[in-house]
Amino acid sequence: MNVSILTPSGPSPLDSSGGISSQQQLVMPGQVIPTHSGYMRGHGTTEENGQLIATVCGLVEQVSALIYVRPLRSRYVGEVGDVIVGRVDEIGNGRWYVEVCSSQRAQLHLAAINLPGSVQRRRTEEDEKEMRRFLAEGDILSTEVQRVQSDGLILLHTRSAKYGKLENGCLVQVPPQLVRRQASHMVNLPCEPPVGVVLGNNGYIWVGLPQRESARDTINYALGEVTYQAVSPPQRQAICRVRNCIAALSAHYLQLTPQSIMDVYSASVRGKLEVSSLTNPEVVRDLIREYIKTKT
Amino acid sequence: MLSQSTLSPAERRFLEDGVRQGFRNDGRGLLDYRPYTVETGILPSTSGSSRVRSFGTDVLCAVKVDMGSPPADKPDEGVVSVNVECSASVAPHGELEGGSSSRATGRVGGGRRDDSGEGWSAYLGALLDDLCLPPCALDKKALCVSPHVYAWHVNVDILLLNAAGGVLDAMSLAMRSALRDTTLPSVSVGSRDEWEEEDTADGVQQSKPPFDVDERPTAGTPFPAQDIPVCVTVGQVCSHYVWDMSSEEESCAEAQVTVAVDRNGRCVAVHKSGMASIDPTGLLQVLKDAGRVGVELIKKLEAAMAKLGTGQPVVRERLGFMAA
Repeated sequence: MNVSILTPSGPSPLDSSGGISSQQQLVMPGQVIPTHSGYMRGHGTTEENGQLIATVCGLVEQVSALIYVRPLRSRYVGEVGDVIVGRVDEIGNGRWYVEVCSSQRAQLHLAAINLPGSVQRRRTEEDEKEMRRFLAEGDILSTEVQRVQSDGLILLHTRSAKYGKLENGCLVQVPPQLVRRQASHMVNLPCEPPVGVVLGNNGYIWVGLPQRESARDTINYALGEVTYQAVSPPQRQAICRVRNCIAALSAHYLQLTPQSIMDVYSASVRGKLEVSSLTNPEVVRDLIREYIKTKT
Repeated sequence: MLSQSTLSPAERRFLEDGVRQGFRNDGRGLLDYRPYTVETGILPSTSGSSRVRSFGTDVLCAVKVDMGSPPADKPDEGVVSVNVECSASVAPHGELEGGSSSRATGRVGGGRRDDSGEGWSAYLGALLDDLCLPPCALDKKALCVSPHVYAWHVNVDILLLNAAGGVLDAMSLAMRSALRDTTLPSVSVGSRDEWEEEDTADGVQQSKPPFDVDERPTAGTPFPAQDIPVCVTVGQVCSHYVWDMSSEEESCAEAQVTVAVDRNGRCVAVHKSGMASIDPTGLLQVLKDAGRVGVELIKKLEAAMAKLGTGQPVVRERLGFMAA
C-alpha cells in the first residue's frame, strides 16, 4: 500500500524552454486577432463587427493574406497512407465502423481486407455473415487510410501483411497531434526484452509483444492469425514501462517517436525508477526534465 | 476526446493476466494507489472549495453556506445537501447511445437500466450523501444557530469534470477537503424581544429576528468536518481485489465494494455495486485494508491541506486551473 496526496505544482518543465516562439500569437476563443486591411478569413476564426475573432484555442498563422488559427488540440484528420490504430465500434452493411478519434467513424469495407489464406475473389454474402470472425465489436486493429472523402470520412484498408487485429498488449491514447507521420509506425523497440509499438497517426498507440517477423508474414497476413500468448512478468514489465513512458511524454505534450520513447525509457531505467512510480506526476516531471536536458 | 468504449477481448485478457500476476497495466501492484492532487480554496466566491485530480479523474467541489430555517421535524439541526453534476463528456458511454447498460456496468452504479446522464449524477449524489454524511460522521446539531429559527443550509456542489476511474473516491476526497476549507460565519441573532416586536408589527406573517454577521474573516468557526469519511473503492477482477482502479480496470471488474472510512479507521458505511457476487470471506480482509488505506488517505490529505493553509483566512496564491 502506498498512498500519497500531492499539492499542485508550478508550470511544466517545458514552459521555460518553450515550444512556442515569441513571434507566434496564442489566442483563446473569443479573442480579437489583429489584422491588416484586405486579409482573408481562414479556419478557426469568425468575423464580428468588422473584427476578426478566434473560435478555437491555438496559434495564429498567416499565409500571405490568409489568417487562420491552428488549433492546439483537435480531432484526427485523415490523410491517405496514414497508419492508424482503431477500435471496431459497429458492424453492418458489409463494413466495419471503426472508432479512430476522428470527427466521424472510419469505415473498413469487407472488400478492403485480405481473406484468410489470401485467396483473391469477390466477397460473397457468406463472407458478410462471417465478418465477426475476422473482427468483432471492441477489437483493436492496425490499419491504413486508403481514401479520404470530401466530407472527411476515412476509408481504411488492411491489405498488407503488417496490418490486422492487435493482441497481447494495451492501448494508450494521446492527442493525435503528438504522432507525426514518420518513416516507421510499427516498430519493435530495443528494450530488454523487446516491446512492439504501433504508433497510430490518430493518437492511438498500441504497446504489446513484439511483432513476429516470420517469412510468411511478408507474403500475407490473414486477420485472426494473431493469437493469444501468455506474457511473462519481465515482458509485461517492459511493456508497462513503455506504456508509462508514452503517457509521460503525452502528459507534457511532447512528440512521440520511437526515438523519444526510447530516450525516456532509458532515462527511467537509468534513474532506477520503478514502473509504478511513473504514475506519480512529480516523478514524471523530473523524468521529462532529465529527458529534455539530454536532448538539448 | 478519449472515448471509454468497451475493451477488446485481447485487452481484457492482457489486463486480467496482469492482475493475476500482481502487475497492473501501469506497473502498480494490486494495493497501490496513484497519487491524488488536491487544491483547496480555488473558488473565491464560495464558502469552501477544492479540486481533486487523479490521472484522468477531475472533480471540483464547492460548498456554499446559507442561513435558513431548520427542517420542521428536526428543529435543532442544520441541512446539508449534496448535489452532483457531470459535465457532458463524462456521462456513461452507453447512456448516450440509447441506454445500453452493458457498457456502463463497470461504473459504480452502472448496469441500472434506467440510467441517464442525470440519473447517474443523482445516483452518485445520493450515494455520497449516504456513505459520507451519516449522523455518526457529521453532527448536524452543530449547524443549528438558533433552534426553530435559524440553521445553516450547507450546499455541497460537486462537478465531475472528467472521469477516468475512481470517481466516488475522488468525490469523497473533494467533499471532505472542501468542507474542511469551509468556515461558518459568526452570526449573532437578535434577542427574542425584538423578534416578537416585529412579529406583532407584521401582523399575520411570521417574521424572523434580525441577525448580524461578523464580517471579519477570522471570526468564523470551521465547519465540523473532522469526522467526515473518505470512500475507498475496491474492484473484484478475476477473484482478486484491485484498489484505485483505472477506467479500463473498472470495466473488467465484476463487482465493486466502496467502503467509507473515517480518520480513526472505522468503517462508516459499505456499498456494493456491479453484477457479480462477492466472496464474504475475502470481504473481511477488504474492510481491514480499506481501514488502513482510509486512515492513510485522510492523514496525507490533512498534511496536504496544512501545506495549502486550508481554512485559514489568508489570501494565498492559487494555481487553480493553471496548475500543471
